[in-house]
Amino acid sequence: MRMKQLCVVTGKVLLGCSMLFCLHFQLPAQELYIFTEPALNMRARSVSLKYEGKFLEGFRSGKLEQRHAIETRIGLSKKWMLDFGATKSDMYSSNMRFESANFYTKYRFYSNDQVHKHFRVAAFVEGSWSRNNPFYDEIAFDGDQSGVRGGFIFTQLLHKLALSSTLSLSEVVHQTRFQKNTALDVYPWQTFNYSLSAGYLLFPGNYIGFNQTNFNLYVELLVSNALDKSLNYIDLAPAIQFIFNSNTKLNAGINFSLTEICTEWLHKAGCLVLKRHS
Amino acid sequence: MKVKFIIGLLCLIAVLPAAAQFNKAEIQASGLTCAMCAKSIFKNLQTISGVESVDTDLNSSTFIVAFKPGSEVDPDLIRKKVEDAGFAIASLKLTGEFNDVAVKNDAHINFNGMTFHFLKTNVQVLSGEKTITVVDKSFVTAKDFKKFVSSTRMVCVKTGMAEACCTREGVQEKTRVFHVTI
Repeated sequence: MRMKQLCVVTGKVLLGCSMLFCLHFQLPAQELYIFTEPALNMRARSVSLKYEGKFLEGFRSGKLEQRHAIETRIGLSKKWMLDFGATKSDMYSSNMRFESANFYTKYRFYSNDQVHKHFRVAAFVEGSWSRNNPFYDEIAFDGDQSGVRGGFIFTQLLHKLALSSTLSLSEVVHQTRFQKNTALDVYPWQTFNYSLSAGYLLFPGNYIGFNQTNFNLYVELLVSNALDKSLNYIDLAPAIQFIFNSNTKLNAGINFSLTEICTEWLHKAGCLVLKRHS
Repeated sequence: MKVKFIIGLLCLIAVLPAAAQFNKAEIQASGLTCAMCAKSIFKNLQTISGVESVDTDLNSSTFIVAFKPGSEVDPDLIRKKVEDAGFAIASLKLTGEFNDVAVKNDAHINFNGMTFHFLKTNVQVLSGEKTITVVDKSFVTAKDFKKFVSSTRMVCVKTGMAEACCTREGVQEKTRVFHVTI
């Protein structure tokens, strides 16, 4: 019964277009999940390009706001990768403008592989510079805020099912953080984040070649607890993924809040979910 | 004195280059399911010098690499190509033409300039097309590797390099030794 109610509310939310909608395109593709990173790495000595578009209805303006991100990924070795990216957005301004630059690096330090199975652990660090002020309840380094984040990723592959968990700490780095009595001190500066992601290969049931289109289903639970404020966030992010020619990936996902605290970027409808079912 | 001479002669025969030419490698990779991951391995294997073709069975994560005649087939290079793609080898089988090559358990034999140490192998003469399986560390699962380690008293099985145990058979110390079975 509870699940049914949740689906109904979620359906309303989707129809209302009030959620964050993400579209990814990557060539050549390797990474697994849509909203989190897996512990596996890309091919050694390879480079990939990724475009990500985010679209949402602005809470204040009511207009469609968007962010376009471009990333370059470099596989330095079988264990170590680097990622450089930049974003352009009109989410914090009336016009589209360059918004942020970011850096991400991941090192896989444990791997236990078997046929159609693996368990891997990786450590990662990311840093972001953003021209935006951090007036945002939820810490995010994909354009919204400046800061650093580091943590560990655990990924278990079980044939067609891949499970992953990420544990991390985020710190906002902004000059106002160190000023006393700043109006921005109502927002969190430090969070502990954890996530649980699941992905399932639905098609093809039987492989006959590299040219078959693959279809994957994903669902990710993203939790963020502020360490310096009394704020918690839970996001649910279902997604679908198409992989063409075994090297080009198209993702479409929706990230909506399950917490009772609305951020300014998420519509009230997103909040209703938790209020009715928590 | 005569006994030592005969033993020395036997050891010399054991490590003499034997006539064999590998033309195919069958690799089962571990740690992956999807075609996108398999394609990374596929592309890496294609970069090996002397490769004529790479066929793939995606359902079993198996790659069959055909080599041009006269090509050098290096198991370590094959392993590196699979690992650089982000995965590991679950099994590596090498197929080649053998011309009356005598093998026996726990003995070292040279093929094409490479030294092979046969484990869990009956005394036999290899003739015609035969397939051998590499059982060194990182070429089989950890569980299987333990089984092969326990099948010999020679320590070279642990390092993959010729140790004092091998020099008694005329193999130069620190030579790469591939441990195999048939």
